[in-house]
Formats: sequence, structure tokens, C-alpha cells
Amino acid sequence: MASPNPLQRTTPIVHLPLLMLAVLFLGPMVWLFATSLQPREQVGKVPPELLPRQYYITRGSEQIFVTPPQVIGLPKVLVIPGGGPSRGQRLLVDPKQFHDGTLTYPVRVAEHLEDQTFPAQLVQSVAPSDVIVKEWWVSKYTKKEARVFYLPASDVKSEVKPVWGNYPEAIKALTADEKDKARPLSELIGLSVFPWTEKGTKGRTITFITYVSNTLLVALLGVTGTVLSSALVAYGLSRVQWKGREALFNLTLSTMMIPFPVLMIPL
Amino acid sequence: MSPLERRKLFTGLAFSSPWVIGLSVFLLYPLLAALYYSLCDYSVLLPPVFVGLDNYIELFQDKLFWKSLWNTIFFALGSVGLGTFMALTLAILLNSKVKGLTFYRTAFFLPSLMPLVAGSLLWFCMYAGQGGIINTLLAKIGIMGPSWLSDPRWSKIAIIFMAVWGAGNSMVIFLAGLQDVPVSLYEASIIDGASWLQRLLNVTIPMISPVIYFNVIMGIIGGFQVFAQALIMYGPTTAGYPEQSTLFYVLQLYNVGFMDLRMGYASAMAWVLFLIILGLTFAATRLSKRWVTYDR
Repeated sequence: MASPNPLQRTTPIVHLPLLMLAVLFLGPMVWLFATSLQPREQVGKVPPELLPRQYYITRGSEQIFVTPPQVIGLPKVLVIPGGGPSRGQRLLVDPKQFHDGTLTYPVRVAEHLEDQTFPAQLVQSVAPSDVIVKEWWVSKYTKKEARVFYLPASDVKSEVKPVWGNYPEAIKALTADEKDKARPLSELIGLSVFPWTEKGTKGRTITFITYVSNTLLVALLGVTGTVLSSALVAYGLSRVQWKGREALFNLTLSTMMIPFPVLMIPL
Repeated sequence: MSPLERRKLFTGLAFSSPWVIGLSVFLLYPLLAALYYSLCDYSVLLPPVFVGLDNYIELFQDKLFWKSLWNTIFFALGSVGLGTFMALTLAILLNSKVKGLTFYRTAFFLPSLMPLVAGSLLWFCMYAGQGGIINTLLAKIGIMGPSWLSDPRWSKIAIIFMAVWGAGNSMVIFLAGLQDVPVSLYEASIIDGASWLQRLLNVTIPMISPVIYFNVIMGIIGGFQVFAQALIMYGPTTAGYPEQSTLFYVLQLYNVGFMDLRMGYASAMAWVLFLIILGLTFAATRLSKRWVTYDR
């Protein structure tokens, strides 16, 4: 709608550069957000994907979320040897190593490897087109062993589903380990400077809340102090007429030029 | 001095005392202390030993010093030039009464709120040569993207782009400046038949030239102190990678001071930086008399 005032009139064409630039500026933010909802294995995938995709397999009535499938590419067999260092573990080996219930695999003897044969139990044979998937999001945070599955690619389904769990995990990850427990300042410098702050700090775990409250405290005190003192000084410089106020004001402006590194070392 | 004047001096000083005290404790003292340390051999652990101008003499023969200075000048020029251009463009576009103004303003301002550390990590991931989002998108339109951060020809430019991305702050300052331009000037120019471009060049730019000047000065001061991006992207041990192309002045200062514990040498570097910024600001102020117009 053309306004009678030419100053109020805008051509819609201005939307074009604005939109293009908005995409450029928001792109990284959108990408950051999208990535924050992806399973860990999807992050850094080549080529990158925008939508969070979770892979899952169905075992009976159980739906198990797994890592993105990787094609095995060679014929293999999955066996459980009954002897040797890998006794009782599931091994993925070349079919040539497995013969009528016996498995031959290299074992470290003194300084070198030597093939030894053990009885073994066949779990399944794996076709070259089959994929390997690992149970996802298990090993690191619940400290359970992640299950590994070898199965035809068509058994692994996927759906677009955000991993909101990344957020609580990130907060949990910021919680320090046992070894990083808070120590009172006096223990670090061998001198008790602020004794009243030390009550109850010893052995407390540093948590997300600690970081947030430290940051907020610094920000709050900083802002309060700056606003209060700046208002005072500004009043003194602008409303009170006194000798030297011009000089102080110019000095104030010129301090903006002082690079922080100059102050960093003596402070 | 009359009693009234004396009382006013006292009141003024009392009101300004927080600043005067802050100035002397947190600026004047460190400034002078740094000057003294720059003439000393000082390793923090031992008391400083006076060595005269040795630090400065060594500094001007130090290849890394010149390299880092060049890198910093490159970055400062690039980020101030591109950043000011981008911020001004955005502000001019946003100054028209376009629909969805709030959305656009938010979109452009949002990145400047991103903490430097988080932003650096984000761009680090996006710049990945293989499978980074930027190169993937470039490949879609048929451009073979460089490996931004590990190619010495592109690493500084990559960090400049990241700085331009955070131009939202200066955009807001420009926007405030643009809204202060009297409408009567535009009305008069329209009546005189000035085109959009003529209005831009002859009304807008001169009227906001003080704002441009402010942003350029602030950009130079900030640009010469670029530090965190390179440190976070490349880590403290490989600072300046690749081929010292991102070894910025303050990064080199940090390395010399806090890694090699040569505080005297670092102080000398800091003072040289101060003098450079002082000189540039002075030069910009002198130049500004030619093109900055103050109507008040």
C-alpha cells in the first residue's frame, strides 16, 4: 500500500537482502540448535545432516536405540571361544578361522603372537551386506556394557526424533568428578583469608549450580556496582561545575584505548 | 578560589571519587607498573631486574613479533572494514519501515549475544574442511571450499567472517544513529529530487558520520586485542597454527608472558600495543576532522 508520505513508503524488494542476510546470520544459530538435539554419533557425520535422526531396532517387544549402522563389507562369523584370552567374549572373525566348532585366533605368547585353536560356539554368521550397530547412549552414562548387534541393514529403522536428553546430560557432564571436589581457598594458598566462606565448602561437589551461581553473582555484583558508581560519577562530571572536570572526562574517554593486556600483567 | 568554587570542587571530586579511585588502582597503577616491568627482566618468581631498553631492542628484532603484528593488522583492518560495512548495511536496511522488522532485528542481533567461547567452538565445527557445514553447502553450489582453519591463506579470513557475524552490536548503534537523523533533511532532499542513493550519500552518511567514527575507533581498539578466538580454535599449545597465520599480537603476548614467564618482555609488547592503538586513534581523530560532521 503506497503511503502518501514518500518517507513512509518502502519497496518490498528490501525483503530480499534482508531475508538473505537473516539466513546467513541465523544459519549458525539454527545449526547449533539442530546439532544440540542430535545423537552424539550423528554430530560430525559426513555429509552433515540437519534433522536429528535416531536409529532403532526391535527385539521382541523392546525398541532399542542404536548407533548409525555401519556396513561390515566382508563375510564374518560371530563366535564365542571357549578358551584363550577372549574366552566367553563375542568375537567377530573371518569364517576361515572357524571350523566345526573350533576357532583359531592369535594369542600373545611371550613377545609374539601365535595362532592357537580353541573350541568355540557359533552365534551367527554375518553377511557382507549386514550392518553393525551398537546400543546407544548406554555405555558412558549408565556405565552398563553397550550391546552390539550384527543384522541385515533392513532391520535397522530410523526416525526423525530430537534427543532432548542432551540437555540434562550436558548439565550432568558439567558436574565435576570426585577428584574435582571443592577445596577451601585456605587449603590452596595455605592461608585463611575469608574464613567465613569456608564453612561447608570442603568436599562439596562442584555442580552445574555452582557454575551458574558463580557467574550470576559476578554479573549481578558487576552490574550493580557499575550502575551505581557510574551514576554517581556521571552526576559529578555533568551537574557539578568544578575545576578539572573537563580534564577528568577526557582522561576517562582516553582510558577506553588502553588495551587490557597492558593491565593484565601487573594485576 | 572562592568558597563556592572550593565547595563545588569538593562536591565534584566526592561524586567522582569512585572513578578516580578505580582509575588509579585499576588503570594508572598497572599502566605504570607495566611500563616499569617492560624495562626489567621479570619472571614473576624472582623480583624484577632492571635491564633498560633490552626488551624493546629484542622485540624489534623478533620475527614472531612482526608476524603477529602483521596478523593483527590484517585482522583489525578486515574485521573493522567488513564489520562496519555489514553493520551499516543492516542498519540502513532495517531503518526502512519494512514488515517483520522485529524479526530481522532479532536475527541480526542474536549472534552478537553468543559468548565468544561458544561462538568460536561453533564456527570451528562449521569450518571443518571435510564434512563441515560450510563446505558442504558450498559444494552444493559447485564451489570447492578451502580447509578454512588449516590453510594459512584462509585462517585469518575465517576468523574475520566470524567477527562480522557478531556485527549486531554496532548495527544497533548505527540504527540509533540513523533514527536520530532529522526527517526534515530527507523531506528537503526529496523535494529537491534526490534519488535514494543521493540521499544515502549526501544526507544519511554525513549525518551519522560521528557514529561511524565511534564504531571504527571501537572496532580498531577491539580488533587489535583479538585473542580468544584463535586460542580456543587452535588450543593453547598449537597457538598460531597454521604456520603462525593466526598468531595474533595478544596471543603472542600471552605466550611470552604466561607460557615462557617473560613478564618484562610481555609488558614491553603490551606497551608497544598501547602506543600503536594510541597512535591509530590519534590518526583517526585527526582524519575525522575531514569527514566527520557534527551538527551540534
